[in-house]
Amino acid sequence: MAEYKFFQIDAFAERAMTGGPAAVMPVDGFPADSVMQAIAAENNLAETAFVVAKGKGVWDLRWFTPALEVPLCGHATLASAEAIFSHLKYDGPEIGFDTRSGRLTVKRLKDGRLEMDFPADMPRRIDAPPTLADALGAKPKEVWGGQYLLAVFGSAAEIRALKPDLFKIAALGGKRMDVCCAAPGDGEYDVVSRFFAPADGIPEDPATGSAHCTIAPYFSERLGKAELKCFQAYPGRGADITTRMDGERVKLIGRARTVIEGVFRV
Amino acid sequence: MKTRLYQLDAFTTRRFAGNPAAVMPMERFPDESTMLAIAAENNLSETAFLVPDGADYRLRWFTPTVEVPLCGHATLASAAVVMERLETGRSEVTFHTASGPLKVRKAGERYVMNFPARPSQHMAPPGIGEALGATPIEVVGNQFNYMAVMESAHVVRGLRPDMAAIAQMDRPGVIVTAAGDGRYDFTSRYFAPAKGIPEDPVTGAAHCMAAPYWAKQLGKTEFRAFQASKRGGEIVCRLLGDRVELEGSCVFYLEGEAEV
Repeated sequence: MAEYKFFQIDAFAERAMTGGPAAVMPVDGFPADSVMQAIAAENNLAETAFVVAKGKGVWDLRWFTPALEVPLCGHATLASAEAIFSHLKYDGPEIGFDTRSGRLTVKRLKDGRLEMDFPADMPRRIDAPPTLADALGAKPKEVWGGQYLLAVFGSAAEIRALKPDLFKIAALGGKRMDVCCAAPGDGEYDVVSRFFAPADGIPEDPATGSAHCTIAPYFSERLGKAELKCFQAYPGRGADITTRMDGERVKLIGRARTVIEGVFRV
Repeated sequence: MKTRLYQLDAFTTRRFAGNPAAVMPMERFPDESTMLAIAAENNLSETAFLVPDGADYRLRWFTPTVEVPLCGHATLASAAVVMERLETGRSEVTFHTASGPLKVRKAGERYVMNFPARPSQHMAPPGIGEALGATPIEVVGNQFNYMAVMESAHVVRGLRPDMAAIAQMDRPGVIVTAAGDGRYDFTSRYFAPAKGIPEDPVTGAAHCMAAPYWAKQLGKTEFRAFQASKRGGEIVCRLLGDRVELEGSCVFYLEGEAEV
């Protein structure tokens, strides 16, 4: 029977119980894929991250949803960095993660926030899929296509009020299955968004790093600001993600908060 | 504030099977919005909050979105936490809940819960065969659920229901069941997409409906039942008048502290 350390960490969270929860499990070596998959299903969080120390500030990192291994996950990477800095007491300035998507780096900024470096995904204007407005229950002003559908609305209030029909979103078809809805922000925020991916088993995602790789280039150009304070308005939680354009790259900046610390036996 | 948190698999003897529940013993219940936020964060089908009340406990259950009036697997898990961690050696406990007092006793490695029976009557909801993708030989229902009886356990295991259609039925959930499945007296599955649970892994409450039905059909009152979800779970059911005893095991998984 093996005993594992377990951390549940909210990423892109100013406070505990906001942002996106991820489980982070430091292991000496990766267990069998079937064991990691069973653990991720049991945790039932959007992602469970497994990290293996390689020395010199570098870790191997793999991500599992409850259903499958995924090639890239932003919020669980931020959460993994938090576990390594705060719980494993790594005191270097930067962590390198070797992943299926290559080397990802996370820096700890002076104010305690964490900064990840991801590729930008500039979307292109496209025609709205014919059933999109019906599925969202509201008509976006513009639709752009990047790695996801980006449905741009006129106001943050419209984003917060969305009550999409998830079965219809899942049935949209086309090559882009997931829908990011975004609008210029309200209050302190430049952009307010929500992210729906029912076809991938995620009715609504609370904190989506990768969606901000699309939000950042679009809104930075439109608003004429390299740095954007973004809020992902998942009902009852909400995630704080700051983006900064850097050429073809986007810096995703946020805090992470540990909610559960424990051990489990397999 | 830090508080203890346990995650267990209920109604199984195998880890990664059964139905996971979180159990959080506390000195007093936090306000409801906090309990809802914690349950959403845990994202398990149920998080149970447990507060001492004399020699007994008060127990409340939250899904990631709502408080629910009754939950079998999280009660079983709560009993295991009381008897194996909080008061080792204790073999009986009463939980005071929104559904009245629920008694649980230890029986060897298993726990026996006493729940209200949920009798049903014959019904014919339109579209249930299409929604399930198979034609039932009988449909019964009560205020809580429909139950579609299939010809064989093989049919029950192979079902791939249309969740959108199930979600539109005028009951929150649909149980599908059939008699006989190897060493089991009956097999079932439970779909409740309207409650945010496409398929529940193992469902105590569904057996409160299945037990009285199969008692009439099979002419006996004690059953070994299997819930044939992907995870799978085992429940021994005993019909005792208007009550049902649900007996099962639990496996501890995660033990830790939560910041609440």
